[in-house]
Amino acid sequence: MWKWLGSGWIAALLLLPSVPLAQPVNESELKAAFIYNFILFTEWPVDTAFERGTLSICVRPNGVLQQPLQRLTDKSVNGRKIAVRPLVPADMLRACHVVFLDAGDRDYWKKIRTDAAQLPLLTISDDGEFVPEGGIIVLEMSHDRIVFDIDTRAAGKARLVLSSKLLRLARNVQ
Amino acid sequence: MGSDVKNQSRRVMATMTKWRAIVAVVAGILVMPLLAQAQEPAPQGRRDLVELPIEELLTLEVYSASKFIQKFSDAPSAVSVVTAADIRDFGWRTVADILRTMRGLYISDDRNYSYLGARGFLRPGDYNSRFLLLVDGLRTNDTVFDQASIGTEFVLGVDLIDRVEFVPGPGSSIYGANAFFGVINIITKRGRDVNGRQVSGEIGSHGTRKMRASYGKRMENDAEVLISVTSYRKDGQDLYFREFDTPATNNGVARGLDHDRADSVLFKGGFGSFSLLLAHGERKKGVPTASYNQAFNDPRSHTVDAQSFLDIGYKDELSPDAEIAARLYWARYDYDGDYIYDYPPLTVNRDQAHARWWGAEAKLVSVRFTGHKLVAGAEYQYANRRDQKNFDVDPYASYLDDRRNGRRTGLYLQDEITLREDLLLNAGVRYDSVSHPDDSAINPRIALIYKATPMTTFKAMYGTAYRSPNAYEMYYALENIGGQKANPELKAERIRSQELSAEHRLSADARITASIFRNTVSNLMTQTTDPADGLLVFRNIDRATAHGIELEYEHVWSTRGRLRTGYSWQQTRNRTTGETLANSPRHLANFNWSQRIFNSAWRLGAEALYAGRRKTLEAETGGYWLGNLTLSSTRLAPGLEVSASIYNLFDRRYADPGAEEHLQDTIRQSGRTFRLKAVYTF
Repeated sequence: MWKWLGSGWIAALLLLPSVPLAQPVNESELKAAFIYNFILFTEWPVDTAFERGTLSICVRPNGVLQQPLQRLTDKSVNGRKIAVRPLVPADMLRACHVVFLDAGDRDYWKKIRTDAAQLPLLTISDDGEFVPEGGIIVLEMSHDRIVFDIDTRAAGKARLVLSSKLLRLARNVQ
Repeated sequence: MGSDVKNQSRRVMATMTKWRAIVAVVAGILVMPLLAQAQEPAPQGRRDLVELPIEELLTLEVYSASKFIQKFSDAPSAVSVVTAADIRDFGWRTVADILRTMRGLYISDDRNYSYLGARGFLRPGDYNSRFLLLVDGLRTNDTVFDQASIGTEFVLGVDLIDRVEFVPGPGSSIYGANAFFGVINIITKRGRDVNGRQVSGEIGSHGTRKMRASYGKRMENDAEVLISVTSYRKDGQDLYFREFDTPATNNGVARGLDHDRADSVLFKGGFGSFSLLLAHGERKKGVPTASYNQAFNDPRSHTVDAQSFLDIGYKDELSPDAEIAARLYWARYDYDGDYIYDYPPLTVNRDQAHARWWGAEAKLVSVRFTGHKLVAGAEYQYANRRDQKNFDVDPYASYLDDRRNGRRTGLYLQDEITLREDLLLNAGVRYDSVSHPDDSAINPRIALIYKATPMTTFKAMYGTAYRSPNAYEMYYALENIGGQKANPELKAERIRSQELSAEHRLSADARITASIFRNTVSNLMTQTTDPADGLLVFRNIDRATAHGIELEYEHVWSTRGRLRTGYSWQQTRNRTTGETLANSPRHLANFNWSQRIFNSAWRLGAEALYAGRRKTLEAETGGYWLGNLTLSSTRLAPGLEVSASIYNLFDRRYADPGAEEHLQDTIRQSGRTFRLKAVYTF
């Protein structure tokens, strides 16, 4: 009896009505799209230097997001061309406007944190332990979707203005 | 003559099975990337994402390649990881189910406990004491058997596991004793991973049912809590053992003796820098094998394993470049086994172990010095009870009442030195001191990690590890027939390990790993029967070596498909006798593929496992292919998760080697079984 039940139930389950669904998307590419949107909805202080009119995203060269971010470089935001550059030492951070860090960058973050806090630098990470340590935006997976948390104190220190839309859409705002 | 022909044809069959296994895996490895590439999304999909409004991005479902996160590319060896999604998609029921799909690992089951083998080593009579089992970083091996519980006796249900990491190779330079063949790190779910109330129910073959209720939440103030209760029952099947096929012993059928029941509770809390874990698990398992010369088919034969853990953790930053982590814990393990002997009359003999221990650990991580990541740590553990007892219940007669305590201290230092941007040197050393036996050990490990390109990493590792004899091996003595005698003279065993590995990311979503290793174990503690008195005893008699290669391919692709497939070849040798070790398969292969079925709400998890033939204590047991299939869905209704699984799909007959305590040279494993499961979160 178990035998025919065994072959029967697969067929039975497959015949159950199922909901057609959108294709899932690649995590890294979706994160890059989020980062692009964060840039769209962030205002840098007026005295920020944008060398040759470019806005630089700094990311570790062998990081998972390097390639998807690279594809943003044909875009511009408010007339500024997006550039992707490798992570730099603390004293050269002024050249970055956005820094993306993952769990592999924890040591790097510890080293640049103090300097980063003084600069108009949008720090984004997908490492859950990041926000308590002074980062501005953290991306997180929740039930197969991506959500983000914002630390407004850190943003304030960096003199960045995040639009009310971002704050409204964030899962947590501190 | 007839049996010769049979033997020969069996050998031919075994060889064929073996080659079929290799061909299948190699073909899988070659074909899968092509197949996967064919399913890669059109490039236009990428542009679309950036064009979409952010509100829409929040609604998109993602597939994750986070298994290949950078975190492990700096690790001294090639780490295996499985996640909660894998556990769900493949219908795994125990930690043993999870581990047996990992590179170089295999399982043996004697219908009482599950035993783990790595790289060709699985010693009969060893309760996984050569693996360190950590739960959220807490050492769970007890202080009598040093047992790593990976079957239904594990203190948590697998539903509460977020991921399992297996770090192969000697880990004593950081973790001290028992990190001999590898470290199993189980990371439990957080409150936010459950996020609400959750109930789960499952039913399966042989009267299996399991229920769970959980609640998890992260509060506004960042405090996090998870509470869970699990209850599991299995009536089990009647089992036939050829060795007992006489009219006096019920024609070899152990009736209703495969029963299994386990209950567990978990409380996890976190607030600020502090974390708390409270876990308790209790498992009662019938013993159908009449192990240790028991009377066969007596319904009273069973074992009970109970474990409790209380762990308080603290983690904080001392300065921007230094972090401290500390923990204080208390734990207990109680084992109660009822063994039935026909003296005559039939008498219940009770075997007990009671362990109570507490400990403290502190670890400091500093990146203060440019190019260095320093880890320094200290551990202290004191076991106030490591007691073993054995007595007849009625009439009362005591055979063993051994009371011990013990202390372990460890100090370690590790430095990860960035020699060049693409070259890391990881060097560590640990000093350990134990009180019973009075012994100390120094274990180094050194690894060179070369990131040849952003996609390719090479690692070369040399390290040693040790394991001191546990209280069971040293002091357990029961000097009646089929008993065991003590050996307080036992010394620690040691392993020396060399490994070369390469990890190559073919794309952001695909990784191929290859390793080649050589292990040399000296003073190997082995359970043998002393010919002089017929008693079992542990002795440092053997020197053994193993060498081999491992290959693994992992891929995650856009239609929510995941593949992990691997093959390993290993050869072990007892250097004293020149023979291959018992329970040591030459070939192992796994194929784990999970895929959304077209555009439906369903997902199929297909698993194929192969273990080559293994020598047993007397003869050998044939190789086997095992197929498991799970159909699951997380999207029939909001918050609902359902799955249906078939294990041993083709109803293959296979057996695992028995140990010295078994009359059975091989112990047959379950045929085809089923499970249905539903989880609802609200």
